[in-house]
Amino acid sequence: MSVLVDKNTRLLVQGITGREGHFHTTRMLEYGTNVVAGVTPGKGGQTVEGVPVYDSVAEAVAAQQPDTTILFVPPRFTLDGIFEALNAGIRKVITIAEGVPVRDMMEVYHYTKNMPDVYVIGPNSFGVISPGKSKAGFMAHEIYSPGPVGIMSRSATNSYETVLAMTRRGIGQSTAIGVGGDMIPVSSFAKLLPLFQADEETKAVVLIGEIGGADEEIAAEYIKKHMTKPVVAYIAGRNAPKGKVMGHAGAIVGASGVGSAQSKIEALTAAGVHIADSPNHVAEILEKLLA
Amino acid sequence: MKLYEYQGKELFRQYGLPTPKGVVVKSLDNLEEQLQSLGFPVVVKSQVLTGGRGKAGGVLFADNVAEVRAAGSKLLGSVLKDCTVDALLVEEKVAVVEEYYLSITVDRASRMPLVMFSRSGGMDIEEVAKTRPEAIAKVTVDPQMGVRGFHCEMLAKVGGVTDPGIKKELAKVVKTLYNLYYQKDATLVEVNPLMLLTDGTLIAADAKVDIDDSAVYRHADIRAMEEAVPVAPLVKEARDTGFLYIDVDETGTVGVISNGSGMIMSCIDWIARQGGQVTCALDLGGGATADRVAEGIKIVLKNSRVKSLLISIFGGITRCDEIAGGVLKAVTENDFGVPIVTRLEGTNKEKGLQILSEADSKKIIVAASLPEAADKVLKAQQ
Repeated sequence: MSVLVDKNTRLLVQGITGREGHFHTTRMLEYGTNVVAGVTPGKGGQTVEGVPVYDSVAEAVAAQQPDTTILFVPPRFTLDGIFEALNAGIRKVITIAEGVPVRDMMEVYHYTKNMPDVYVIGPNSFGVISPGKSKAGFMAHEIYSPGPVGIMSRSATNSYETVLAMTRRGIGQSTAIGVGGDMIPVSSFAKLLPLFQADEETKAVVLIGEIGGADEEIAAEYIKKHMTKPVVAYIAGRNAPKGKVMGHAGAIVGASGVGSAQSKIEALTAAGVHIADSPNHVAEILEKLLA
Repeated sequence: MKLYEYQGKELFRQYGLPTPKGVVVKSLDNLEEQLQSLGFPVVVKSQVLTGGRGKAGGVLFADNVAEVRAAGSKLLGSVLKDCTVDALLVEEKVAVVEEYYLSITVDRASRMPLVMFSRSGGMDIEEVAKTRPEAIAKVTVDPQMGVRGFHCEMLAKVGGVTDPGIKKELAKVVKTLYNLYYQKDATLVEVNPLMLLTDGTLIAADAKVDIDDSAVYRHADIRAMEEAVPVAPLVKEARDTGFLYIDVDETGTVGVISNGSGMIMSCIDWIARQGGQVTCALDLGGGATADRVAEGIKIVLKNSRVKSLLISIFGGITRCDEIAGGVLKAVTENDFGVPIVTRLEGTNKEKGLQILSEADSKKIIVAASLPEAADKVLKAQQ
């Protein structure tokens, strides 16, 4: 078992004929991912590394029945690409692009928020990998190893760092998800935690958060009420610079302290989460928990 | 992208939200002519992209052209909270009954626009937030629904506005501001104070507008405003090369280069934990080539506060051999005199380390982990 992607995943690549789309399709095929189709408007009928290309997601779905899609399209086409995939009936959408307008992701979030079976990962995500089975993303897959720990991270580099430390200690991963580094990740930690809680292979979960937003605090509420598996968290940005603040709205909202590293660590600690102070420390804690 | 008050007010007027009559003054030449459409007394306001302008002395009052000139020569070219004043907004003073606060920003928890309103507007609104948070009405708006009558009713009720005429005015302003916020891809619009005039109408006496950088491309009018907004030289140079330069702390001595904001935050945290302080950071993003890495190093080392540099890379899309090649190129082509601690992990790590080991330069120090790199980058300064 694993979550979101596995051996049975039938992956569609939107933007497959572009430079990044083509390169990472090759890398994903090498890893064993079942890439069944690609889409680039106007390029239907071509193939990329043997994968058939269609003009639209609807045509790709009719011909190849993909159940998951990954978008290697520029930020300004991401909103359209997500809606096209949802409209064609795909329920798992992974978005890579960095720099998608906040309003676009707000639209996707509110369109999908009452659809329990829809997962939109990202934007600004490195993708999803279930080591040894399948990957849908651009992560350096060499550092991953199969095992019992589920990982969710807002930052790509901090999750790589953590995974490497784990793999060096012989601690493998069930699935690693790049939640996305932008202001509005669509599927949040709290939406993904139940998947790990239900997954038989996952024995512990790592949450890599950072300052800003309230997703770590909201995840803490879920963990407190529903998680029986141990959770380890690392929060980056304790010493991050504060930007020049214009206006008072931030200070008024921030008067409660939500969003700071301290607020997140306090909320997670109160939920029984083990707090690590570095990616290495995450692996050290896991070693003890899994012993 | 933060807009100047006068730019924000242009947007307000475009949407039909009233603002005081005003003129933008960038030079004191022909002042009389510049001000001829205005009646006195006036308010002379420094145009800076930071808060707390009034308390810092950036707003003055004048009863005639001579007094505007005096205020102008004091303010133009002065530095307010790290921002140089290049323009003034001279506005007719209005007869005020009350000062309200109104803003719209993103509530990241609910992923909705958050409207905040208070009757206690003005310079002390943050104090109100601390001591009487109940005096600030907060309503989140589902963007699929848009702002509706009931939202405005709630804002008025919690905010303590009972007069039917004022409530109607307020609802009008809230809806207008919301449309602007949503259609123009703002991440903040703030009116403080929103002034209640003697005739019962509301007027925006200030404007703080921040537009989502990722969405500026789809607004021609805002792109046109971009030219007036100053950018720090190193930030601009980095942006032109496709990098993000971040000023971290003026008292810091370490520069950091990495391939992602998460890693940069972790570097800053590690260095702080070992008693050091980062002064600036450069985010290479993904996939930087050796030539561009060398450019990035040059940009960071133009900051004279940098006494040692940490380059920490975890390559996914980014290749470590390209990073190493960039370090080598930068050191060979320039005489920096600043030690560079490099830590490489991920794609093509071995190739990268090979390149660095052949470099034979005392300025290049290799570290195997982030903690070791943080330690070495501080010791290299001693």
